[in-house]
Amino acid sequence: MKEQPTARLIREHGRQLARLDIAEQRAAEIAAEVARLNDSVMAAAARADFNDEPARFAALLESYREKA
Amino acid sequence: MSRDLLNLSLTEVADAIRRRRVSSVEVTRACIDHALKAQAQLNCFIRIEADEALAAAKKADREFKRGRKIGPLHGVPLAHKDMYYRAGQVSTCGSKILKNYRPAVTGTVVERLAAAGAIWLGGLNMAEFAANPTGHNEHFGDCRNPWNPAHMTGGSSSGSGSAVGARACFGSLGSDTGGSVRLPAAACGVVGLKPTYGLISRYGIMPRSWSQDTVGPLTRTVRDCARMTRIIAGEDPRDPTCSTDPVLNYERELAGRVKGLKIGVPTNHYYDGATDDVKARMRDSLEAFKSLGARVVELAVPDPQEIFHLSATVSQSEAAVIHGRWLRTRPEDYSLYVRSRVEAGFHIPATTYLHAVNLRARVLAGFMEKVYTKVDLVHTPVMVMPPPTIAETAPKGSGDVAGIVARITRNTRPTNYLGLPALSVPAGFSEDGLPVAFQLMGRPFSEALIFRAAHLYQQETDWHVAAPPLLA
Repeated sequence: MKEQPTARLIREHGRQLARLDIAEQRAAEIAAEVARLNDSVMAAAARADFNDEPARFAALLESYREKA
Repeated sequence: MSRDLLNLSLTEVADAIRRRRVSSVEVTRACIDHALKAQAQLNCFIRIEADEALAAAKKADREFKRGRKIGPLHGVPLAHKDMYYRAGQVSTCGSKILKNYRPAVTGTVVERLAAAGAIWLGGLNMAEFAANPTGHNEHFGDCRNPWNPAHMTGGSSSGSGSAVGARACFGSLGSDTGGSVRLPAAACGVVGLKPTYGLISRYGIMPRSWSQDTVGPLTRTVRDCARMTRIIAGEDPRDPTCSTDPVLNYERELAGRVKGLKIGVPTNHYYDGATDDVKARMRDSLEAFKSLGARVVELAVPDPQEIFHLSATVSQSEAAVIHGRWLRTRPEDYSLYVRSRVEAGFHIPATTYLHAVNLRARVLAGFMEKVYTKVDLVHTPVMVMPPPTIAETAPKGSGDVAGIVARITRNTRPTNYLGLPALSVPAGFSEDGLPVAFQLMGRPFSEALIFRAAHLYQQETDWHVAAPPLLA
């Protein structure tokens, strides 16, 4: 079974890496939101190719440019 | 007289000034008087700069009398979301933290509007740091809907929707990172453009999420929006994300037809939870397009919920960087809304953020293949319900925020991740007399086609000329 981020993880990450003190209840809410976003992105990332790169996005927008 | 003036559209009032039927001073004075009345009921301004606006209007009239060449917005009063920088002038960004902030630079779009002759009437209310889609603001007071002040304006360009809808100015700049132009435009019964990413310079405006921020006008008619867009769009060496291609004359491109145009209507996501009156207005508007010769094609679009999450991952991560220093040192100066919409960004792994950014081209390519090889435009409701009340959309705790935001922005946010253009267009009213709107989305840089289709729709309907009874 996949483990989900916990309030404790978020609090410790906040303290140790992000320099933030986070209340227990809020940490639980953040954990749920991070899990939702992370799961969705990781699932989508399975479609990525080795040669993909972020700058391709702007080039692609231009390539689809609609000529009036 | 002043009521007649205020009911003119932006292009009509610009033409009236050009033909010397009215002076800029008369128009500006009418706007100021009405803005003061609207402000008492709607709280749509953060600052009305009456003396400066009148002085600018007098100068505009003097220059015109001297025969100086005038621009396409000569003497026309506009007001903007209070995040468009003018060097040395206060730009609050709707926040307590920047309530006395005087940026060192002037925004490119501000310079371009000034060069076109527009008058700066004031700074408009907005969601704090453009971070909520409702119009709540605990520092400057909630902005109110001109059609019913108990209801939300939508946000984050709340004052832009409210002031243009109330006829307190003839047009306004908003910004759209997840729906922040389209939502207030829809809720307040005006037109609002989220342009293609890269069409309009972002230089000299407050950042919300660099990868998805766009500048867009809110106006009463599509023609007005086309004029403002043409003026502000185009290459800007100070914003390297800006396209270098020439800008079309969108107003001239309005002339044409939509016969044979294929308009897609999604069969998934966009109508989930839609109220009966929203569904009815969508059907009515599609019938109008059919009567113009367009073909309506139902189709399933790539999962917008996945795109929503990709977009939220990007915006939360980038906002955490933008606000990190102040969230560490003065968190009490942020509203619950802003804190709750930024905090998760500190804990999203860098690799997850980069995945979301890196996937953007692939997701766009998939969307283009599955949607825009089959249809020319996509038509959906902007919101699946009429604008809720301010009380209904006020979060009681941090745990409420994500749900409220998702409910309101579910149909707008995916477009920002894809970088595509979308125009919010008034489509009538709910059973309770509140505005309902559709959005037309298109291929990259297809603003001319979107404007043309929406303009023809406005020639067939009269929703855009309806004025809120509150201020009559």
